[in-house]
Amino acid sequence: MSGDLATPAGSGWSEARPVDIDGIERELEGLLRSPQADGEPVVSRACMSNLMVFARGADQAAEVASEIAAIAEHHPSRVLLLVDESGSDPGPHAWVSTLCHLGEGGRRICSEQVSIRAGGEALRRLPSIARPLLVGDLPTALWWAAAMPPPLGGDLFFELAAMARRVIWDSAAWEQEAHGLACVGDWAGGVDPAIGLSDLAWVRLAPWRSMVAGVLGGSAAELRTVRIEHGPHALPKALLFVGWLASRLGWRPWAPGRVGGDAARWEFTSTSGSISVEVCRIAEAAPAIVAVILGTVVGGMGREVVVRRSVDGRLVRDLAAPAMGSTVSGPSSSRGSLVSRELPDLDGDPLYRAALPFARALATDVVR
Amino acid sequence: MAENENPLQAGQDSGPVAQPCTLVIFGAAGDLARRKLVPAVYNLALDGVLPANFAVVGFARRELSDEEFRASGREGVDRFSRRISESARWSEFERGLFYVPGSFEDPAAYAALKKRIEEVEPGFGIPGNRVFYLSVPPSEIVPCVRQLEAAGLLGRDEPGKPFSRVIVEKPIGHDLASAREIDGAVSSVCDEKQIFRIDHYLGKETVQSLLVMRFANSIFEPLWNQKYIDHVQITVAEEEGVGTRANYYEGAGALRDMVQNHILQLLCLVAMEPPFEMTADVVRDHKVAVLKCLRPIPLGDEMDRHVVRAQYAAGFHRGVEVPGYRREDRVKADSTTETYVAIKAFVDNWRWAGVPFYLRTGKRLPKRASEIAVQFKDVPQMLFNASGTPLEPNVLAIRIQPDEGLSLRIATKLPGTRVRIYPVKMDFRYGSTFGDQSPEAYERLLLDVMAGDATLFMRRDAVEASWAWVTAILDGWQARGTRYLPEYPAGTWGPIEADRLIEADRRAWRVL
Repeated sequence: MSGDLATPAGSGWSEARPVDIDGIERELEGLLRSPQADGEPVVSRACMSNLMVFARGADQAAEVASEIAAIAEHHPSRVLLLVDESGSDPGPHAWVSTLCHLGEGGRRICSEQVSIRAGGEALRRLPSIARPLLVGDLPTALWWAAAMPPPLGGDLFFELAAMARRVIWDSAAWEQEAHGLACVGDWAGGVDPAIGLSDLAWVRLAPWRSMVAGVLGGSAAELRTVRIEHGPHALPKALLFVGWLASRLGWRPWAPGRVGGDAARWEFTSTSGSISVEVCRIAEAAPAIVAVILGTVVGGMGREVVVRRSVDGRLVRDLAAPAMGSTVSGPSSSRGSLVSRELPDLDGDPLYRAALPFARALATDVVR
Repeated sequence: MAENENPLQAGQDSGPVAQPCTLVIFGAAGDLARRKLVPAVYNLALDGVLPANFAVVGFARRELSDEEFRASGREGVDRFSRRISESARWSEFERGLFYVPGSFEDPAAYAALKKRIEEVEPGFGIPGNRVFYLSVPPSEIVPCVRQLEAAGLLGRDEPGKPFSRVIVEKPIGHDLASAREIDGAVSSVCDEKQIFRIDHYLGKETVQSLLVMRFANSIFEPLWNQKYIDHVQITVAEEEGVGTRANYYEGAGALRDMVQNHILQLLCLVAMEPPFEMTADVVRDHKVAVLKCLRPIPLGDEMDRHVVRAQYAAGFHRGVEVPGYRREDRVKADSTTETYVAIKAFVDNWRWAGVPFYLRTGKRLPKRASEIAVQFKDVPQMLFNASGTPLEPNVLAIRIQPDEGLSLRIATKLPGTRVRIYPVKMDFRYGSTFGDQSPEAYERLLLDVMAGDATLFMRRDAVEASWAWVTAILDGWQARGTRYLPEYPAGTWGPIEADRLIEADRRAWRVL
């Protein structure tokens, strides 16, 4: 990994300096104390959190590194970018850099990044390198940016996660989404509720949940049919959405799911009746949930509400005449901005925790 | 007028005023002298606080000439001092460095030492005042003191006559009985006011500042009690393994090496009542009172709920594979010496009733860090934590090393329309606030000895009180045998048993 890979041009990061593992703190101190020229603003170090980021391969590391600047600007952190990069030289090798921007009073506000590359056998050394680099008394988060479910990362993941009070990942990046979701569901069931778990797929659901909660209003309990249409890589999102509805509305599974072709169907029951849920994959659609069609029966009258994702990513409620509140901004597509929104939340998300076991059960049906 | 008081010093300087003297360093060829003592004296010289009439005489077994001792001292300054040697200043400084080789058991060596001191003193105008720094293992303290007495170098001070003082390094003994033996022997030769039991932690700026913080700021002291403080954590974490100290460490272990002195001294400073004046005996009286209030650790099976000991196993330290303790050089393959200890202690007095003091120290932990953390009680469960999720408690953390300073963790609202609470640290660092590097602990302490100020040194009763508490733990361990000694991988924060000790109280160790 080269310095420019760790710090893409134009991102605001200083040039990454190679450094011995033992000299990381000293070098960072030096970077932040570099003498200013006359008239240059005073440097202030900013650090609200420790953020460990794990990526696999140079390409993924470069992609993640380009998003870290957005995170650091909104939530200044000490970033430890840990890269699994098996090559001829297993390392570990380290680089340090700083990201500065002008703050109030003309001070330069700087965050720090340590990039560590290791491969093969040297990978298992990463936790011992990361541990002393965490700034004490600050919350620590792990962003598992590798395109695999975190628990499949084995000992390396569990050692890193043990240092964190929030673990962040993105199930949309996985190859075998249903299998991954089932695997995460199994693992998360045993995780201390005080630990925050953030699947970015769930975070992206926030506008959908907000919109659907709004359009259903007082008739949520009368929901009888739900159809979710999604594009590639969005199955976890769809299943988590169903899990959210089921956990909030007190649904119970009625029969095993029927999975065939690009669709899967489930039957639920609740105190107010039975509910049919259909999740359909639209191969040519955007990699997101593209529509949610909700059918209610109120006073014997059936009603259907449709919420669609527009081409520009906004969520739009199908209405004959657009009205106030019929459109909301869609979820951000930038992982960096989603991660930076997650970092300030120190508590676990009980809604996600409640939805996940349902999503896990549905995912198991899909895998089966 | 008090002894050694110089009326001309009035209004000159409010710091300690060193008296003209010869500093005699026993073990002058050793690591402590090279890394700490000579650099400390050099820095004092650069700062202009040494007396004009001053010299150093090194004394050790190794055959060295004055020139070799000076060269070794300069190398130590260049490698370990906060300021490297400047040629002109060093040349001036090294003229006051001398060396006498000799065995600590050999009366002839003491005769040679005395002769050399008496030759040096007139040239520097030193009136016969002497400070003997015994940088020797505990087992050699008594023989050295007896030989000094026999050679006529050490005796009780008499009014109007030159003074002699002895600096004794920790550990003083290896249990209560041996500490009493050493103290008894030293006291048979000189008075308590001539004995300076050094614990270099007490010379660190942050430690000295602890009392200032407590008693010179009105916001802390009203909260400094069981009504507002949930618990206190004192951590002394070492990154290194046993290294070359196995011969000593095998017979000591973490409890004797760190808890009996450094950690209990820190505990005293946190827990002591306000002294009515900042004089040596008053401050030390108040510290001893804390030690006397320490609740004895329960013995038997109950002991495990209050004390955990462990040994480091093989692991990774900053990416490098390192051996377990039992595979280190000069360590027995079946050693049961603890390299880690965690203790839940209580100070049974009105102020601290029911407040646990969690103490921990260990080798091969992830980083070198010493800290006192005072955690305040949670706010009532309403308003911002009404949902039941507790807010991060306020923590006042006093960092002793590295990066001396203190921080206060407070809850604040994140900018935005939602009310989201986030813990932020208000951080003060000596290094960045005051610019100049702080003096090393040894600088302050040596200066205090030369000035005759014992405030930052341990008094005999404090040493014995701390040994009494620690020896009970050692006896408890011995009685139970070592059926099971927990391990922790090198490079981690300690054994799971230590986590359980604190988690049983619904608390957690801080990550430093």
